[in-house]
Amino acid sequence: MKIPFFTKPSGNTAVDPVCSMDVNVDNPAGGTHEHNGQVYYFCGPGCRIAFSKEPEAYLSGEKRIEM
Amino acid sequence: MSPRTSKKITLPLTKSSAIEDELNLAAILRTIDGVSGVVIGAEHESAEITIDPNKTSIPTLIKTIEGSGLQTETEEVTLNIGGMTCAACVIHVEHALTAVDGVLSAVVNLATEQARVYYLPGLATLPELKANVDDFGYSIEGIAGETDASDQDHLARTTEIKTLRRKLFIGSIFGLLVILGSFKSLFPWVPPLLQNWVTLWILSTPVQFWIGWQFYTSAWAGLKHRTTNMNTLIALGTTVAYFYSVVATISPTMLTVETTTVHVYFDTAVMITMFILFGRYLEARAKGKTSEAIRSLMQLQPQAAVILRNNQETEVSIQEVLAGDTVVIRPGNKIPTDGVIMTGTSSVDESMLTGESMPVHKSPGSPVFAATLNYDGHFTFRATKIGAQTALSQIIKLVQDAQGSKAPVQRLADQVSSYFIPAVIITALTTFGVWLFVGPDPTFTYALLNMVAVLVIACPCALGLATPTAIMVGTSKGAEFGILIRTAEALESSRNIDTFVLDKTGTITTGTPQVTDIISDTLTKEDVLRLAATAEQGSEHPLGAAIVTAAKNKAIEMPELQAFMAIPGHGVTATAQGTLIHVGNAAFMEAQDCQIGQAIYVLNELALQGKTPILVSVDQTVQGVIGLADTIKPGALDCVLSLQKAGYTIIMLTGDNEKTADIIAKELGITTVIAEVLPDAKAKEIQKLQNQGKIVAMVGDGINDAPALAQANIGIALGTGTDIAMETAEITLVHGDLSGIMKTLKLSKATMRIIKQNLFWAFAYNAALVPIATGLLYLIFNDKTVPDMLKPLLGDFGFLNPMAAAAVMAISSFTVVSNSLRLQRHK
Repeated sequence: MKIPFFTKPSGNTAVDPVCSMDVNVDNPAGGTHEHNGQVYYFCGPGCRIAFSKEPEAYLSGEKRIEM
Repeated sequence: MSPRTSKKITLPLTKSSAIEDELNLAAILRTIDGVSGVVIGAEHESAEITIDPNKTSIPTLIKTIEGSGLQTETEEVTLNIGGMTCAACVIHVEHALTAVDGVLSAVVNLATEQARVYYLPGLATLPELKANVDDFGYSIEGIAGETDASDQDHLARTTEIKTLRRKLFIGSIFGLLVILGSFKSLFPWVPPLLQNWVTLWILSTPVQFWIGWQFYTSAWAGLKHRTTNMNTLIALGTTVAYFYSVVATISPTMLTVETTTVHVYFDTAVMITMFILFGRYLEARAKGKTSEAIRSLMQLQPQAAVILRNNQETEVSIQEVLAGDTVVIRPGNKIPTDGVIMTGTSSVDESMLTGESMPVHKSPGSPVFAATLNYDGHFTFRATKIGAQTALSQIIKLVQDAQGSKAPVQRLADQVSSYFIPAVIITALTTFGVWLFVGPDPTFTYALLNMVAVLVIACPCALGLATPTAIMVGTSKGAEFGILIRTAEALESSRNIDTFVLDKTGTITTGTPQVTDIISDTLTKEDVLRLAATAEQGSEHPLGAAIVTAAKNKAIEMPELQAFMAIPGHGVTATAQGTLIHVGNAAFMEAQDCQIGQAIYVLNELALQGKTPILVSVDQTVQGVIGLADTIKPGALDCVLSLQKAGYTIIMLTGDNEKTADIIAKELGITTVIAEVLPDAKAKEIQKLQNQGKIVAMVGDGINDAPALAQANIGIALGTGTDIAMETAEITLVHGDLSGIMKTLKLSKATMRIIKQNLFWAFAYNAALVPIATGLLYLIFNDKTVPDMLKPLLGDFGFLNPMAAAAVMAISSFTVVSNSLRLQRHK
């Protein structure tokens, strides 16, 4: 299982706008994407690609997936 | 509708009983918004539909088709998905998969990292799925279920050997230090620190509990089932020795009485553990490549396949072939998956699956199987079963199951131990009781000391060497004879065999057809052979090859061909020196308008004898008949006779037809024949015999024998056969010579005799010292009357000198090893 239920990444974290996971800002597993001047961090490449296709849908919460 | 937004798709249909259904279907499909054209295939096997992808979708079409009472064929596959990190990924991957044309639905499981995909065969392809999933930031890592259990098995085995080697290495260092420290008189130069009991205690603790832990777990597992084995004895002996020594180290006064000096037995505990471990290591190393068998079975399947997509031939890796794909097969190709022939005819060598030595004729509708070999035809087939579902994979599973279900052989060493342990415990308890009640004061201390002495001395360290050394020498001797023995159990259990089951093709027979008869009224035998061989020169067919070989053996010269044509599975037509030659079966001759005439009687006669008759025609008239058959190996008769003379029951088991089997059996004097048996049934036949209480040895060479080889108490493979058979079997006769069977039996008997002697010597010295350990002699020598000669052994008072335990270990180990070496002289 790759879902870190019990451990939160240490250091600076940001919330993945797609799946709401905490992501380590210093070394984001899924890389980053800049949208409207704001940098977003992702748990995996899949989330980043999904976000880059329709950023507004995720930011508005319309497509955001809560775990 | 612009051409850009229209798309043609082909949906496979199950055949309908009524043509009206299809006409209806076409009409219904056309009513859907976005459908512009419908063409139902000539065979009603598919519907080609032109759609506007913006207005309608494949699922809609399918719903409509199913609503009209027809069915589309769907397949499902489970894929391993990589790169999923969160719950959202599940949705992304599902999107990626369903976006591919022909995928009906996909269910992704994050925990198992797998996706179950339902798709239309022929429409969705693995490369497309891969590409799309890649685009979404994930990956498809292959079809699930392809990574077999054998990998884990293999891993477990190599890990075991590695662990044992490491334990052996580290243990030897500790062990050596303990021994150096324990024998002051032998190694006076050892620094006193090492001779300190506390140091010895520290050094032997990891050996006792880390290296020796496996003896505890195994002994405990045995105890739970109320059985004792070698491990119980070892665990008991070393534990007593260790803890006694610990007490002696902490509080020597507790164990001191006037007549004795306190000793520690750390060296005994350590040496026993290390010797036994060394034996285990020798065995583990020699042991099994069962997993290798499965590995090479997997490799039998060709790694690539040519499939037809959009009427174009593309070569793809075998993992990318999906059920429903059309696979193209050329002459000489291995068939990559199971399937059904769509177009073309050929003959296919299925001997690896069925054991039938002659190629099987295939035409549209015939099933074909993965890993079988296509001879001469060119055909296409629809893949029906892939990966773990193929007949080949089923055989793999059978092999695994049979190996897993094999009853463990009770090893002689365990058997002997199981009698020895109760005897030792009873003796120890009796010693304790007797000293407690009738011994001199302090009774408890005497009782305890003597009980410990009994338990420590009774644990023979040569026990661990008795079997492995004999097996090692035995197997190396076997190798000299061309007999490879893979497991110790095989040598131990071959003495119990009472039934031999022999495979026919490739085991009793040579496995390849040979010319046995040449019959002609008009021509000489040489001429018939020359004509046939000339025509067959270019043939890839095994029958043709056999004819050419026969001609070459007789140094018959073959003129050059002017023209040649082969009708796969039937025969060949050729012209040489202006003569038109036809060589083939009766149906071929009729099709070519050749006069068969009287030859038909010869043909029937040969067929009755279980031979394959081939007609040879010159200028449209049959002039001769050549009979081909799989022939019995030289030496097979001798082998069967000597086995029967030795009292073994012989059974012939074959996938070939009954007629052929009976003829061979009769020639060899085998009365029990089980013919036309499928691979899984072969294993079941063995099981049936085993259920009747028989101890069965199976001799075989083919893939189809592998499950039976695994199931049998002992599998014997022929080195001339397939790797799988060799790796499944416990014993391999390298030269494929059946005389090796008798040699194996003799060697096995000799080895067992040595093992028995070894076990005797391993126990004998120790057992002989048990009475002394009980303290009996003290009752005689308690006034220091021990003769000077015996003093090194008995001390001043008739108690066993702890040095004696170590000495006995050395002597018995030496005896056992040199006894094993005697096996070298076995002939």
